[in-house]
Amino acid sequence: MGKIACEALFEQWIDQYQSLILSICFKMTQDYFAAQDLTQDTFLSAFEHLKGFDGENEKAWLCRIASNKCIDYMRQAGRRQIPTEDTQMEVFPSRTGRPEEEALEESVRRELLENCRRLRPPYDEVAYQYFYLEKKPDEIAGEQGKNRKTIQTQIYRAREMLRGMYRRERLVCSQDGRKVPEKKVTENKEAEGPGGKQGRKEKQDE
Amino acid sequence: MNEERQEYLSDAELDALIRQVEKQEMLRAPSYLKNEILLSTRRETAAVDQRQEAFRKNRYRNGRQENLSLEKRKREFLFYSLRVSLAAAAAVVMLFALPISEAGGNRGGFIAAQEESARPSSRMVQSLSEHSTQFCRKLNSVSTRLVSENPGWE
Repeated sequence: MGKIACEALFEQWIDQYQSLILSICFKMTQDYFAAQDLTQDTFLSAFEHLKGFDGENEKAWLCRIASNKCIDYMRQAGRRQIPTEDTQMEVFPSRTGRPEEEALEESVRRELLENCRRLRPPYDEVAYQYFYLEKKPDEIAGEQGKNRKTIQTQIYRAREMLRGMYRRERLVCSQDGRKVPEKKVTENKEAEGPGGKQGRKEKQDE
Repeated sequence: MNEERQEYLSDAELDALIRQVEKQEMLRAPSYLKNEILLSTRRETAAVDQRQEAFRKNRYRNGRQENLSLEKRKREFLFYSLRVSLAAAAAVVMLFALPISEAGGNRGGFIAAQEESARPSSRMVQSLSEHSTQFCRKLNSVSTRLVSENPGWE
């Protein structure tokens, strides 16, 4: 496959699957910004190994990469909330404790807004404009009468602050007892077989 | 290593996760995410291209350096050979050019040859000294005349 064809295909995949990948990463990590980072890492990894992809079921392939990256992230962060056959959905409860009928999207966006407002100026406004309203850096720079590079730097710093905020909140929620005990993970580990074909293929590709 | 493999989701678990997320809990990706993904892939591609280019240039430079040093060495050897040849030729020429006196054997002849070779240089020195003395006398006369014509200079 030519380079241009690869890039076109890759862009198509981003348009088609970015929401799914983000949702999977958020479900596994319960951290909005970590989910975004992991989504980026997933697509980057897929791009690097595109030539080795056999062309069958790209959705499953991307989701396999995403789930493995989430598990690596959780392991690295010291949180052993690895889903198993018995507890795959129970491991990821809602952090905010809001009613279940409330859409996930709304709760995530509300939380994002709250966290953006908690930042100190000028990062609160920049974070609100970029992460919540999803404006482009050029637009924000034009409205505020600032340099584009300045806005980009502020966006970068705001992202780091928000990331830390989400991580701390996640740690607090974990300490509330929603963490899966080590014993249960060990027991389920014995019950599990080796990773499936897709898992092996993804590891081979990586 | 095997234990780490077992902690990843199995195919069934992954399918169940995908189904559940698609059915119930889909988040809309923010608009800036696609740009950021594309930026990171382009950055990675550019970094890889840069590394490959640097590797190719390094190989070429090293290759060129090896060729240059070989040429340089050849040239140096050539100059050295020429110097040695010229020195040998000069030695042979001197051997035939220097006269040897018949009386007194080789040693006497050698001394005589030394004296003979020294004479032109002593004549040169003598003529040089004569010329310089004349030049100094002329300078002296000129300066004396100038002083006599311009008494204020004293």
